[in-house]
Amino acid sequence: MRVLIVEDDRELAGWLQAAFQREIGTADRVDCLDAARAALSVGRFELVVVDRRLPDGDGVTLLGDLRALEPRPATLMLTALDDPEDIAAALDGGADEYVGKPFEPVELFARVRALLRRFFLDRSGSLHVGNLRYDVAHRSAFQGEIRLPLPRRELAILEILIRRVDRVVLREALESSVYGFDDEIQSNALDSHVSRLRRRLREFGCTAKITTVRGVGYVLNAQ
Amino acid sequence: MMRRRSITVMAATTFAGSLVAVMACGFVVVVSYLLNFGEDRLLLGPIKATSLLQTVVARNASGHLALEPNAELAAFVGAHPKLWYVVSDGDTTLSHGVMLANPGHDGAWQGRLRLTEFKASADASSVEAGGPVSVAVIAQTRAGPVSIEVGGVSPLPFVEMILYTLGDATNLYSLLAFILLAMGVTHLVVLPRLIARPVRRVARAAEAIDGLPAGRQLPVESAPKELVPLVDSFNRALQRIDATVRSQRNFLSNAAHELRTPLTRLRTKLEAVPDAAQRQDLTADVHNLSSIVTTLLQLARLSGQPHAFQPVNLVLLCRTTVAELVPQALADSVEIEVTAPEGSVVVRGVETAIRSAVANLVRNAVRHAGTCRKVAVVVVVPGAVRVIDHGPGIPVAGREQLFQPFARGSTTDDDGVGLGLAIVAQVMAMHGGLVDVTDTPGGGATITLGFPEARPADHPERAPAIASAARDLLRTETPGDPALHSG
Repeated sequence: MRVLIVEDDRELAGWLQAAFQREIGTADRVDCLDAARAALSVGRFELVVVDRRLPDGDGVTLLGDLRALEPRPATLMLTALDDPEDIAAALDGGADEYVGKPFEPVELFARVRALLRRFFLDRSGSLHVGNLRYDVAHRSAFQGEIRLPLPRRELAILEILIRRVDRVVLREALESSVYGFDDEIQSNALDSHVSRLRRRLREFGCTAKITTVRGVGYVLNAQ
Repeated sequence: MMRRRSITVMAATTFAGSLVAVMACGFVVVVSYLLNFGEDRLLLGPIKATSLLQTVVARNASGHLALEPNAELAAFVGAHPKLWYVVSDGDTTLSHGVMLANPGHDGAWQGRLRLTEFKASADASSVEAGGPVSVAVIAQTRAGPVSIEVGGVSPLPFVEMILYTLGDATNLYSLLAFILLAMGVTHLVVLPRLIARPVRRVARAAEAIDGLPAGRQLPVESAPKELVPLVDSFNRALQRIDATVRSQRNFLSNAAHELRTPLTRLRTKLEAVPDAAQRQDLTADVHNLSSIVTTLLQLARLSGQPHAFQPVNLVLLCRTTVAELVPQALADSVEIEVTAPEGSVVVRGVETAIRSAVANLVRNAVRHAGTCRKVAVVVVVPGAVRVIDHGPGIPVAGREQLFQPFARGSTTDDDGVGLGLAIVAQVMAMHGGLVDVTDTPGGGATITLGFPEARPADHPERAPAIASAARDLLRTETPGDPALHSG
């Protein structure tokens, strides 16, 4: 895993580089957009951490260049700007995650790991949460080598939750992707599917846990 | 209250006034013409006499020409002692009075005049002697064509002369009345509209500019010439507002950057502090500072920038706001639950502002969740959000100052910096709503955000009534508790 840090504050960039080396993988740092473009043109990065206010412009402008790359690196904006409009501009521009300064180092890396989990499959093409592995290509879930026998709808629910691990998925988002237009949705159908899925995960000793946020949706995270 | 001057009324009045003036002038001209010019006015009397005679000429039982005198003729005869007339059909000749010797009259006109054509003759001496002028006419009557010759009529009194002249032109009158009516309609109805329409158009364009001008301008091309100075200065004002908003936004971004960058540096350096207890203390201080910075910036943003009010669905807003806060709450092992009616609960407001108010309340509730570790967010029809915790609650005495910046609940933890609720109060004041603090049954605090139902931006004069309605709503649900006004 190779990380590019675009940060003009020398001290902070130094700390970030060291911390990313320790927590994630090889980390390079540059202090302006031009240098970042130069680095991206010669090296391949899986994650780019960008500040907003850089000496030669707004980090958001770099997002366009990143989108053009193949494969596209995951992007994390690390910035002091927290005006909702600034955040919206960054997310609309294609940032995958937005972390405000000052940040808690623990939280920063938790988010980075979650981002990378969402973003990259491991070599076998799987997503991991705790000891649960989801094979995206074959649409099947495993605990160790055991394949979890999941019916179609529970599998669909699990896939959506695992793709948004550690984040709340709204009820209607789940409903709209699990049920077709013609399906008649009983008001508690989703709940019962989720509780069956939850039971199944428990039976197979998975450490991934689905939490219900009543009135909002569900969140999957590692126990 | 001073009566506002209306351009259209002024214009209409001016036009109507000038119309009346023109008509009065015309009248004066006609009258002075009648009074001052030539013999025509002297002819009026004999002509009137002729037409009176014309109506009374008839034939008697034996077929001879006869007059059937009526009151009008009698009155005329009475008023003109020197009156003479001769009515003849060739066979019979009726006459009255003494026919004055008239050198101009030789009787040769008879038979040469067309029907209703007058022949007047007068000599200077007779005119000066009191104006007897004679006229002769061959007129169509009930008795067939007759010749009528009239003379010795004194000049008509002024009023009678005017009335007779005017009374003779009914068709002209209807035409005149029609023209007057048309002009009246034009001046009183069409003209005001012509003036008001472009004004309204400009006003509509101005109305379409919401709280966020951001480069919007009134169209100068479509504005009438008279309004261009107004439109221009309005546009310049918009540009100035834009510039102010931009510079304030820049200032806030700069402030955010300048304040947070050193805090971030500080926080990362704390990682190197070997003593865990000390590191935790210092980290908490950084958190405090950072949340003060955040809330100060939010407050500045709320109070310093124009906002566009739009319909906001409280249900969706609460659910998505809670969704963002859940991971952190779960990490602190606090459950958050949202209860909302089916469908949507819509209020008018600024979404980002309401979101930050709700987020502040929920964060506050999570922080003070108490042993129950549960926080409930309830959306209430027609437009209120209630955040309920089961923590230590807020003593009644401290509730007023809770919403002042830098006030703090009487809890002992250092986490709550007390600016969050000031933001909540600011947001609700901005929306013309209310913040209400009550006790949760069984312990804890319930904070309710009550939004005005209708559209205060559209009906500013109704806002107080709505606010009091919202207060009533809050009161009925929590009797005996003092409702706090956020503003």
